[in-house]
Amino acid sequence: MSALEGVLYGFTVALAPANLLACFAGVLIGTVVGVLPGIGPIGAMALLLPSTFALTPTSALIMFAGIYYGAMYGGSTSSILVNVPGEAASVVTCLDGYQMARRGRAGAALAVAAVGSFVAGTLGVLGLVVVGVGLAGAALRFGPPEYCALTVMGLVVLSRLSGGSLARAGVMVAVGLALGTVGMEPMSGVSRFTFGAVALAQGIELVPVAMGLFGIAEILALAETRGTLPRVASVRLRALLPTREEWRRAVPAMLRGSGLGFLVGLVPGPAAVLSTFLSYAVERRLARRPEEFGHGAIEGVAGPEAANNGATAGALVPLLALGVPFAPATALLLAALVIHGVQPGPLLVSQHPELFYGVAASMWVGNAMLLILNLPLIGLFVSLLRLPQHLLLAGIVLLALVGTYSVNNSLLDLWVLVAMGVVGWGLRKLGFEPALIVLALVLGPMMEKTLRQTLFMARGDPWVVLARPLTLAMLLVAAAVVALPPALRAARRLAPVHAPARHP
Amino acid sequence: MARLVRRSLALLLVALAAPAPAAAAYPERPVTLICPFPAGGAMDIVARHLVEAMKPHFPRPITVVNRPGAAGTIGTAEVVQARPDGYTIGISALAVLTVQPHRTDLPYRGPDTYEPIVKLVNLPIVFAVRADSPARTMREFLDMARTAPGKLRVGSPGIGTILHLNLEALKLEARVDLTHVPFAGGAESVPALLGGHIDGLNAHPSEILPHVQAGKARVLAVYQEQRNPLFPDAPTFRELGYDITLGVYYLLIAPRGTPAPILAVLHDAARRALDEPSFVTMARTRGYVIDYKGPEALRQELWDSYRKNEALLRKLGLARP
Repeated sequence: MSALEGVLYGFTVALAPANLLACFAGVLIGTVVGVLPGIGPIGAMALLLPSTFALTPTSALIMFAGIYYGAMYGGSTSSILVNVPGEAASVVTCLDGYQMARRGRAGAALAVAAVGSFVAGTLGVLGLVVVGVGLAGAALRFGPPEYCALTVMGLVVLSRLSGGSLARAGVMVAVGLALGTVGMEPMSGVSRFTFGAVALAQGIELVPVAMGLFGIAEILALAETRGTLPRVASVRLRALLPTREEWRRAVPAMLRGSGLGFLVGLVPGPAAVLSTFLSYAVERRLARRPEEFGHGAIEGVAGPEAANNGATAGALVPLLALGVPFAPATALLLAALVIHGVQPGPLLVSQHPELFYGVAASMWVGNAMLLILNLPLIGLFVSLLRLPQHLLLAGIVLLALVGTYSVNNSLLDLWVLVAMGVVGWGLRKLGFEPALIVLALVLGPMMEKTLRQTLFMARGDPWVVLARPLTLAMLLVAAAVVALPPALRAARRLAPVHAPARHP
Repeated sequence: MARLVRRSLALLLVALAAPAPAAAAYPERPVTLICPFPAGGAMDIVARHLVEAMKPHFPRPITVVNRPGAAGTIGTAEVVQARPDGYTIGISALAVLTVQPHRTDLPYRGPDTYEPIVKLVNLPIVFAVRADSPARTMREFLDMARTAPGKLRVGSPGIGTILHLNLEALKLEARVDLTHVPFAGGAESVPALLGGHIDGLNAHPSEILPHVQAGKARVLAVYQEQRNPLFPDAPTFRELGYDITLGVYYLLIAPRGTPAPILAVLHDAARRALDEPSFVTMARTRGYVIDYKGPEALRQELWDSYRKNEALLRKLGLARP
């Protein structure tokens, strides 16, 4: 079956009433859990897994995929309006989305996020169908040494995310890396920094840290200063939409974010989260006025929000083409299949075309539904800000607590959430960037694990890493990012000596 | 004050008297089954199918609650520390119960610190290579390892898993030097094999079967007592002269001190569930072997593994001091 035939066949599957309903249920649930702080797509899918017994494998996968990408739409809403990330992949959206809301452009930010998600979702599915299977094979070429170098490069490049001094960024990264070492080490089962407490062995999870550092911290700061959430004078749709100038800046960022997100989705790990950081860094680097970043740059919303949706499509590539889940969320998509006795593998596309093409086609349908669902909802969401502030804030705290608990049924996660709220509140006062803690907590454990696997492979000889060209290249980039700026600054300081005429 | 004391005493008496009639009427309310691994994982799927299949044989609903983390020890510790009234039970696995207690300080130790209820399924372990591997048989693979000691890399889903211990047992018995590369689960080790980053792999049948069917991987031998019907050409390690047959198995456990009549009710319901067609089908398609054992035989088997694994972990330097 060619890709075109496949897609046409896929639409006959996706448009069957039962699958259409499953798709709608999925994107609706996804939007809701995306908007709600704490509970994200992973928690929602885990809770709904038993209910998929009643569905066919195709419907189950369509619904779960809908939850997954639907959450990426919803996640931006609470980030933009109240600076509380709806889920971990929307942390970066807080940086500029909330600032846009403070300047009265909440509607524009929400619209750009929804359209960006749609663009990325649609392009991502195209990528999945057209080049997916080939790319999955290429992804296998990446072994532990490549992943290790990739995480090192990612950590170094992305820690320059929000500007500021290298030392301040370094402190935040160090804190995140340290948090990532708590608990039972996943490869060897050795417990670290648990102080004999069994509960701590589960480690510090990403969700409570992200929710605490951003959501709870924001609420504490508002309570302390008796500040107010952004007020929106008018909720008429036309006034909420982006201006022509805003579109002009947002669209290229969306396209770049879509591509980046899709590629990052092919890499193991929490791809959606990583892709947003990467897209933000790229947009900041390319922007004509980088100083606007952190103060409401629309590219900083459009890029990352497109990227996290692109990443969900990318993450489906290894799952559907190889049967291997690379991310925690796709592991649950896999579960929705194996619970029905379907074990995906390299033959899935030929043995179960209704699944592969049906799900792909349903993603187009679902993305269209989400756009239709989300644009009119912007007015509604923005008017939420008109609720009495004390009720809104207390409600958000409650939702964050319940949502966070529901992910692992863990009391420790709640303590982490509260503690990180206080830490995040303190960090703001001191002018540190808490997003870097989240970044290091995502990348740190991956870096450590792949480094140790590399050393196991090489029997302890670290120089083997440098013998692989891809690894070497990535490590050189990382070194350049650290070494070049000070070197250039030194060169500039020397320059006037050689050219005194230019500075009379 | 006196009235408060009297009332408290009365409450205390009621509380003390309660368990006896409760045991007679068990189960009066829904039961919680703690699964110490994430929703959607291999164990979770067994737990959810088991609960479905127990429905006709157990008058109250059983709810699966996932308490993942720390290689299954957190959820299992929670079961062991729960009130022994039959309303909190757990599903657990061989390594969680017989390897982890030797590695970290946990609220449970030997099989006398909890009540094994019933053995459910066995997940066999197989040894696989890439389809383009020069080794056509297990003997050829071992010969390659002997001519180039330490050059061949073999993956496992983690240090201290049964899949890793079987590899170490093989290295000892066959006197070969293989480089062990641990991953965090089969979802990482299988792609590493397919991508050529390791030369061999210990895995469960369900993880490797789709790649064998696609012609990307080959199973060379199985750690089982009999040949595996999914891979009929692959000999058992016993046939090759290495007596390694341990698989991963899942079982139900209850906190120590749960009354015997309650354990009997749970055991009977689970035993009947193992024969339900829905459960049998699930086991076959996932490559699990239904392996019923009652509480006494199961406890004996757990003790056996508990002691053997302790000795092996000490030899490998993986036991806690």
